[in-house]
Amino acid sequence: MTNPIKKRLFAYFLLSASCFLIFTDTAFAMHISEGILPLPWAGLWFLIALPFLIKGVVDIKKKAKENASFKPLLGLMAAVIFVISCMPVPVPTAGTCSHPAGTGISAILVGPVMSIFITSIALLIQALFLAHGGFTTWGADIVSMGVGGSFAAYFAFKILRGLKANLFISGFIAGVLADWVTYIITSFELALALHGTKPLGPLFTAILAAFIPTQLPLGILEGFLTAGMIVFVSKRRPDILAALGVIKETALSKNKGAIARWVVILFSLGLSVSSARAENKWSGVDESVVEKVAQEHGRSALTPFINTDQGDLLLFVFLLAGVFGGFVLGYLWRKLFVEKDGLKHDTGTIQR
Amino acid sequence: MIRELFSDSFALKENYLTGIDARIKLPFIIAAMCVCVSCLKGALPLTIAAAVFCFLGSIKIPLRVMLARVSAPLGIAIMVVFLQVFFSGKSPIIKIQLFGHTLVGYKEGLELGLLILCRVIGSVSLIIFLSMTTSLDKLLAAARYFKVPATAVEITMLAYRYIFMLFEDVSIVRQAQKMRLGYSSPLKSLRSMGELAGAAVIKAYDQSLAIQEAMMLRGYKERMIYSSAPPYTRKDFVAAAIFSAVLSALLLIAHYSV
Repeated sequence: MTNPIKKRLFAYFLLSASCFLIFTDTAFAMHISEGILPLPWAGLWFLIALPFLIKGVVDIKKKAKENASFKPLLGLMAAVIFVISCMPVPVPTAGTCSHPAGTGISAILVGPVMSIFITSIALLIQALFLAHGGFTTWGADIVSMGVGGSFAAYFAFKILRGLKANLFISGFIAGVLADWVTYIITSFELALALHGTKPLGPLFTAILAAFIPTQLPLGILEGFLTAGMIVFVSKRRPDILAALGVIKETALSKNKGAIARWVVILFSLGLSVSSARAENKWSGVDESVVEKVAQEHGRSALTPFINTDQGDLLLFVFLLAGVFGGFVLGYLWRKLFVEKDGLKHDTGTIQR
Repeated sequence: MIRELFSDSFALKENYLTGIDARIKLPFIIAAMCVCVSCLKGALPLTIAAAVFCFLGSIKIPLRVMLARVSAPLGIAIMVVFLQVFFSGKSPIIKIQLFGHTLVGYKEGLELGLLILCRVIGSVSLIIFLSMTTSLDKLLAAARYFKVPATAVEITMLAYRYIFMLFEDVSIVRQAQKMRLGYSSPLKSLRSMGELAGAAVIKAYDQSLAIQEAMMLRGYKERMIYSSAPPYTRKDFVAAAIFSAVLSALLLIAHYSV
C-alpha cells in the first residue's frame, strides 16, 4: 500500500471513528438501523436469511415432536439472548457502553441453526420495542448477527473442543469470533448498500475502522462473557450442558467405567492376598529372600521398633489411614469426580 | 425509563389508535416503510415522521420516550451521513486537513446522506407508532392471520413473556454481585458478568422445564390453540380507508415534488 493511500485511510478511520463515538452515546451498533438499507438490498438480505429461518422452523418442529420442552427452551433462550444483549458493557477505549451480541452463547448451547432462529426473534423484539435494528433491515441483521455470529462461534467451539481445549478457552474464542464476524459482515452489508458508484473496498475499510474502537475490545469482553458463562454453568449445573449436548456423557461414563474396573481389580487383589496370607501359602520377599540370605551370613532379624503384631495396633493404624483417606477423598470428591468431567447427574431430557 | 421504553404499556391503554385492528395496521405500516426506504426525496419520510409524532402526541405518549427511541438509530444514521459525504459524489463542498491529508466532502454525498437520515427518521417513527399502539399479542395474532408459521409465533410469545422475568432475575443477581463488590475491579467485573450470564442460562433452562410441565397439565399438545380472528369492525374499515388515503396522498406529493 502506498503511503498517501495509507495516510488517507488513516484519516478516514479517524474521522469515521470519531463520528461514531461522538454520535453514539451508547454503542448500539450491533444492528443496522431501520431505513439505512435501500429496499433492494433489504430484500436481498432477507432472501438470504430466509432458508436459515425455514430450516430452523422445520428442525424445531421435528425436535418438538421428540421433546415437548424444546419450544419453551428456545423461547427462554431467545429471552436470554435479548437480556444479555441489553447488558451494558463498559468499553474502556471508547469511553462508552456497548452491548454483547449473545449469539456465541446461543450457538454453543443450542447449535447454529436454532441460534439463528432465536436471534431473529430477539432482533424482532429489539426492533419493535427498542428501535435497535428494524423491519426492513431484519434480514441483513439476521445474516450478520445470526448466521455469521452463530456459525463462527459454533465451529470455533467445536474445533477447539475437538483439539482438547478446555471450556474456558473454547468459549472465549467462540465469543470473540461471534462478535467480530458479526461486525465484519455488518460493515460489508453497509458498504455494499452505500458505496454507490465508488469502489467497495475503501468504504468497507472505513466502516470497519469506525467500529474498531468499540468492537475490538467489546469482542474480547464478549469472549470473557461467553467463557465465564460456560464455565459457570459447567461448575454449577453440568447436567444442562450434558442435556444440550455441549459436553459428552461418554466422558463420565468412560471414567466411571475405568474407576469401577480399578476398584474391582484392587479389591480382588486385596482379597486374594489376604486369603493367601491366611493360609500361609505365600511368604513375602523379606522372609523368603532377605531373611534367608541374612541368616546365611550370620545375621538374624532384630525386634521391630514398633511391633505391629502386638495387640490391635495394626488394626488401629489401618483405621487411622482409612479415616484420613476417607476424609481427603470426601473433601476432594467434587474436584476429582464431578468438576473434572463436568458431569454430576443427568436429569435433563433435552437433546440437541 | 427502560421499562417505559421497552414494555408495551402504552399499547395496552384504551384509545382510538390502539383500538384499530393489528391486521389493518401491520400491512399499512410495512407499506409505508417500503415507501420510506425507496423514496428519493427526504420530505416524504419527514412528513410521515411528523404525522406519526402528532398522532402519538394525541394519545399522550411522552416526547422523551419517543426521542429516546429515535436516538439510537439516529446515531448510526449520522455516522452514515459522514461516510457518505466523504465517499460519494463529485462536486466538492468542503475540504478538511487531517494529518497531512486533505479529505474532500462532496455535495452529492451530503444529499444522499441526508436522504438516508430522513429515511431512518421516517421508518423508525413508523416502528414506534406500531409498538406504541399495538401490543405484541395482537401483533402475533395478526401474524398468525397472515400465515406466519405457528412455531415462530409461539416461540416469540414465550420469549416476550419471559424477558421481563429474566430481567428481574438478572437485576437481582447483578445487585447482589454489586453489593458483594463483584464489580470493584475490571477483572472481577468480567467474572461477575460471565456468572450473571450463566445464572440467566440456568434460570432459563429450569423455567423451560417448568413451563413444559405446566403446559402439558393444561392440555398442550405440540402447538398452542389460537382462537379464530375476530371480524373486522366498522372502525377498522374507516381506519383502512384513512390510511390508504394518507399513503396515496403522500405518494402523489412525493411523485410531483421530484
